[in-house]
Amino acid sequence: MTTATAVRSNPLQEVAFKYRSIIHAIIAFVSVFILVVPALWLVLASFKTPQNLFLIPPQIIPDPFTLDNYIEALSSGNFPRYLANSLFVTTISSTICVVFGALAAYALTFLKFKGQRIWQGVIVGTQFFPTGILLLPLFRMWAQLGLFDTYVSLIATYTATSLALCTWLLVGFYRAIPPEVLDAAVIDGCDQIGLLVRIILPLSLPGLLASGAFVFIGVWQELLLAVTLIGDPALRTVMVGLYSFITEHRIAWNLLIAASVAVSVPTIIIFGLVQRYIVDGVTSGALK
Amino acid sequence: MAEQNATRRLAIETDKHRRNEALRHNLIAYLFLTPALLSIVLVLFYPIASMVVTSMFSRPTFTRPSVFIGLQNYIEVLNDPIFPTAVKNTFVWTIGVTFGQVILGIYFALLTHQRFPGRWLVRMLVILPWVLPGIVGAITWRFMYHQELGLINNVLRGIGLGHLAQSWLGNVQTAMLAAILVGIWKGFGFYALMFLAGLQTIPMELYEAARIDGANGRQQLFGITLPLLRPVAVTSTVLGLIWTSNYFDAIFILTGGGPARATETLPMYVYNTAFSLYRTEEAMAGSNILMMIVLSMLALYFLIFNRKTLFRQNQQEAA
Repeated sequence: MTTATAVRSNPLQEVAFKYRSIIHAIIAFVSVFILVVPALWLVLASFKTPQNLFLIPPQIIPDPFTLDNYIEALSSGNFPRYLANSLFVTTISSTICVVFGALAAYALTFLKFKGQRIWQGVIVGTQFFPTGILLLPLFRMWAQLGLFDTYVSLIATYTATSLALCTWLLVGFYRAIPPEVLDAAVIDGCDQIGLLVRIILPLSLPGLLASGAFVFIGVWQELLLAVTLIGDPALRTVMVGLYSFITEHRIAWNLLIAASVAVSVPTIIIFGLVQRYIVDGVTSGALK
Repeated sequence: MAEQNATRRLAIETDKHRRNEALRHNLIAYLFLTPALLSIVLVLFYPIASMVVTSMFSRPTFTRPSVFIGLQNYIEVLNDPIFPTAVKNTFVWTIGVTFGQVILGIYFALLTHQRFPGRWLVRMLVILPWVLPGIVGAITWRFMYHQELGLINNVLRGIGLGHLAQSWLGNVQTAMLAAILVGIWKGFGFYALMFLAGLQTIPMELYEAARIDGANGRQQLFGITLPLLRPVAVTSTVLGLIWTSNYFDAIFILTGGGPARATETLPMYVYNTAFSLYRTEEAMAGSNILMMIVLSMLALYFLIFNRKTLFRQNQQEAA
């Protein structure tokens, strides 16, 4: 089963290999198609008129094809506001996170200091801390500090909960810098700050962007903290805004579906752009 | 780095220089670590500590201030008739989702490790559900499960199994299964990613040697591939168990714990106790019980397996 990349020598094997790869392709596409159907169905539904959404038997290709759902959902009520709020909170959180993470990762990667293992454990260990447990105490803490219903609480919380992964990814990127470069810089009289600012940060710029993007994706889609820490409708993030299409009595399916597809687009585009770096970074932690 | 400079100097100076260097390293390290550590301690550790304290106090009323009552809240939670149901639901949910994800993950990793035309597209699509925002995934499935609109019921009606069509999320018997399927769907791509990366580290020579020895495909799969995938599989399964047991975004959107608490896992139970019933102290006790479960699972993992498989950095330092 795992021999497809074998060394092939004679024509007969060549034919057998081609035949097998076609079989593999068929199996793979059929399997993946079954799993992608829900997402595909959602996208198709977003272009249907509200009446056609309820047709039995269901319509597969939207006819008439309409963009009205998007126009109505994205302009309805507070939705533009929600989008702006999310963009603001997410950008600020991921920027702070990358700055803090870049500094911490430098200390953990290039410096030898007392208590290194403990602090490394503290930072990395928070990754295992599920936010589900934290919702209630965080809600209480921010309320007591008078910061409930402000972005300060939301941004600070997102930064702290994302720091572990961000730092972990950056340590991986720093390690990829060839040590010769660093040695050369030190011999030329570069001090620690200079090393970080002039050598390491420029060299790991793709890593910084990728880590920031990963934090961005995580924060962008976060719902529970945003529901818990923000009460004012004007301050809601877009995911909470999405949830507001679902009420006790009625779900505005056509709008909900269009809005859902719309808010997924940034995530998918960003992931597509940094996929290579993320996959390397995330998997390297668990391997070997 | 420092050593290279130091060797050119006299022994005493070297010693002094080293000490200065070490001091500077410590100073800079802590300077750089401070922002990150400060935010983690203030935003994550402090609330947890305050939660542990609060969970041992009574709920304040208009006439009575909050007083220390020890483990009373914990006893309250443990005696709550709903609590055993929540624990059972958590186990069913966690084990169902994690193992479903691992099996699908291995399947797709093995599949996309093969060479075939269009492999890049399949790899991208496998990751798609994981990349989609969690809420969007849950909304997608609420739509799929919908009694009238849902694709599932429509397909059932279409192939003459209309009597099976039902409100999948509204039915006590099917709600948990329906939620588990959503959980599996959401996360299997991550496992596929991990396992694929694991497969790519297995040296090709092993397979060539096995073939020369006459091993067939199945023997190679069970003799080489799966055993060598084990470390990755164990690590990601343990992490998956922890994450899944506490992940309730999907349940929150799909059912909110209903119907009749059929999908109320522990975190959902804590959330409902806190934000629907406003029994904060009990919810905190419940949260702490959940935290202890998570911590003991982690501890168990570290005891049973070599912790170096989890922290690759440490391994490199030791080498």
